[in-house]
Amino acid sequence: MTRKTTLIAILAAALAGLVIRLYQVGSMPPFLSNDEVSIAYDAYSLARTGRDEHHHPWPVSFESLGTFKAPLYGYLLAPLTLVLPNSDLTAKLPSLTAGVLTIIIIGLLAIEVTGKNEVGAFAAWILAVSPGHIHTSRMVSESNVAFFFLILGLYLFISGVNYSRRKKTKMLLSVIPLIASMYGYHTEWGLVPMLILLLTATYFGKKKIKSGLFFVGAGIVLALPLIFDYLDRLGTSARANSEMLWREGRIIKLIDSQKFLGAKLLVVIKVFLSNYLSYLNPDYLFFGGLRLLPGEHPYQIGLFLMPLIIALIAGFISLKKNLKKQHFYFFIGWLALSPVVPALTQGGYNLMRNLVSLAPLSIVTAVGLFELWQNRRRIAIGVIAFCGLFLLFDSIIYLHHYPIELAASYQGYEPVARYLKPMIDQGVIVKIDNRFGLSNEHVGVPYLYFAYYEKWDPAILQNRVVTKEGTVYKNFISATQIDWQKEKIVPGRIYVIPCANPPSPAVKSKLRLIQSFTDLSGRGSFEVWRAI
Amino acid sequence: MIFVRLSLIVLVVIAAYVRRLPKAKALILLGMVLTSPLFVYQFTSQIYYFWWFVIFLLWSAVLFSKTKATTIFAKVAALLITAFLILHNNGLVDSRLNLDRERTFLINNKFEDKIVKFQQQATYMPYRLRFKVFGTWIVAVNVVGRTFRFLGPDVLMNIIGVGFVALLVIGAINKGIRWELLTLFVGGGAAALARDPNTLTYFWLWPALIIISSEGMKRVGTRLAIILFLLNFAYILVP
Repeated sequence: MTRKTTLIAILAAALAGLVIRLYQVGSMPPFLSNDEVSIAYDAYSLARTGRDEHHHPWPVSFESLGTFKAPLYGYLLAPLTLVLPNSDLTAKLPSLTAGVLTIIIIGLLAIEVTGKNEVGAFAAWILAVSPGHIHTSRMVSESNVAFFFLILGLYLFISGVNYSRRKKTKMLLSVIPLIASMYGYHTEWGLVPMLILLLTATYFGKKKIKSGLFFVGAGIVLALPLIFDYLDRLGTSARANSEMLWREGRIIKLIDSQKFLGAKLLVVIKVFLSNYLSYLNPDYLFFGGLRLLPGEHPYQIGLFLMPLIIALIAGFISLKKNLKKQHFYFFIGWLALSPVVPALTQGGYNLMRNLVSLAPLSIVTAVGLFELWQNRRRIAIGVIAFCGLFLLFDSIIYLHHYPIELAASYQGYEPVARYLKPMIDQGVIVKIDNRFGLSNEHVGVPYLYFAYYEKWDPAILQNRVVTKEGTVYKNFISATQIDWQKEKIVPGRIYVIPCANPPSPAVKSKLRLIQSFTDLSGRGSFEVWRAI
Repeated sequence: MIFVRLSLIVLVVIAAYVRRLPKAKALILLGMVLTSPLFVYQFTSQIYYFWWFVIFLLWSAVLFSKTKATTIFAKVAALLITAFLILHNNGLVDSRLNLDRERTFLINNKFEDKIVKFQQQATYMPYRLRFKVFGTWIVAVNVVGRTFRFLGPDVLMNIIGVGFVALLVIGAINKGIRWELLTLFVGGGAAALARDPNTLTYFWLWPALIIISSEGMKRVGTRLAIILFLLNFAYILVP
């Protein structure tokens, strides 16, 4: 395959990836989640006031819902909110763009590490149709943006490994996107330093120690704001503190049950290894890694299309043969290090945390597909044909069935917010019950949705007042729940409630239903009542 | 119990002899088997001693046989008997091979109900096609997925130890191990049909595990083998 044909194939993969990621982007995921709308609102607030929701000026981490999110996504989205409307698509744009660009970069990176154009084309297509990557590209995903910068940094470095003067500059400049990815997501906080050390040890060595030291030193300097911010956040509920596996209750009990330090360490190592290997389980990669449906469900989708399991196995077997000798040890190290950070966190499988593993696994699968194409062409054609079938089938499941199945668990406040905007602008007091779901089993953050979709002045959130009735944002009251037995009905007030908490007979005579909303499955989700 | 444990030790010795492993590696392999959680903890009265003896003889024949016909016969017989024993141990079939549907994963968590629900939602295609597309083959896909879950490295690690798993992975790359891998997969697949697969299933897969890991032992250096053994040993120190 010539270089020109390969580039066309990679660009075609990117275009296909764009179409797949854009197609009905509003249907699945159907609405923004807590975290997504928080990022979107912080970006909106930042663009207008230079401060986040909690009034912190130009923060290095966004306090958000107490999780102190990595900042990169918010800063990328902020300028977009100045020119584009506050919509789901606007919020998703950075992730969508990063997702499409990653397809191109992974193709180029695969060519660099293998020296084979076909592998690059295959890698790009594998990522383009990967359900895991498609899903994260359709969300407001900090992980997806961080993933792009990580792959870009690796590509710049690897493509510069020729020791000519100009290309050495490329290698050294690669530290910028690599460190940028650390500002994108917490997984990269652990992975990127390890990769930087691995790159330094593999490619700089003793002869180029000055360059190596500059590379590492530049990384440390660029990461300093992040380091200081992390130290500042120690003791908070920031994810970097609270999500580590040794903070999980079950693990703490196991550790405490052991007398000796060695045994305690062994418990942590066992749990870590179990988590680590679970991320390499073919069931997770090809059959159910997306985990969008709860529990044991027949229609789970994997991170990669199922037929590619054959290519992955072939890829592992023929990896040494197909990688360039100079890149072999780095690639194995990269493959081995990718699931380390996700394995150190609690809570089981997590697509966002383990997104970084998609890159080396895509390249291994591409190598396998290339090997099959060269030596067992019929099997390769069969794999590709079945991939097409599975892509179609998974698309139907994802776009048609998942929204129906998951409808009740999504916070569908957008239509409610848009409906109530004129009334809120006129100063009508709106009180909202924060719960949602078929039996009010979920607790939402409706104030953020209203603030984002209605383009509230950021000062309203920054000047919120906590009262007995709920948190008050000017004329919007966000209540943990509305208990009709105790609620004092104020004439003229608007009540937004989940359908599972209808007004009791005692108060119904004082209220009039003015609008009801359904979720994507057609079930009632929210009702708007006005006090007479 | 002693008989069964002894027969496992004999199987390891046979595999090491046939693979022509150096004494040190053979001892390490034996040590890894003896320190795997499956050997240390998993022995109950549910083992069918007669059938275990048959399995043992068949796999020994596979290892020693020099004629193609004998080898093929022994391999096929071992695979079929292993699959039957696993199905029987999990309560999926009786002695007359009648399947007990209630014990399959289809009934677990209303698995079948969820398939029917999706069929009903798929109003964009005719009913017959819906049934065929969303019904039959999704079960096959799920069986394969559950098989990989059952045989995944994270699960095997807790059954046979992390060092043993590493040997298995290294040994599995060899082309000559295909039949043993097939036995693992078929056995795992048989167990995957069950609602709650029994860990005794892994017991019936011991011969295949030993043969594959002996192949893996051939490919690793002695130092690495010792490290893998120590990892395995450390694992049983902490339940």
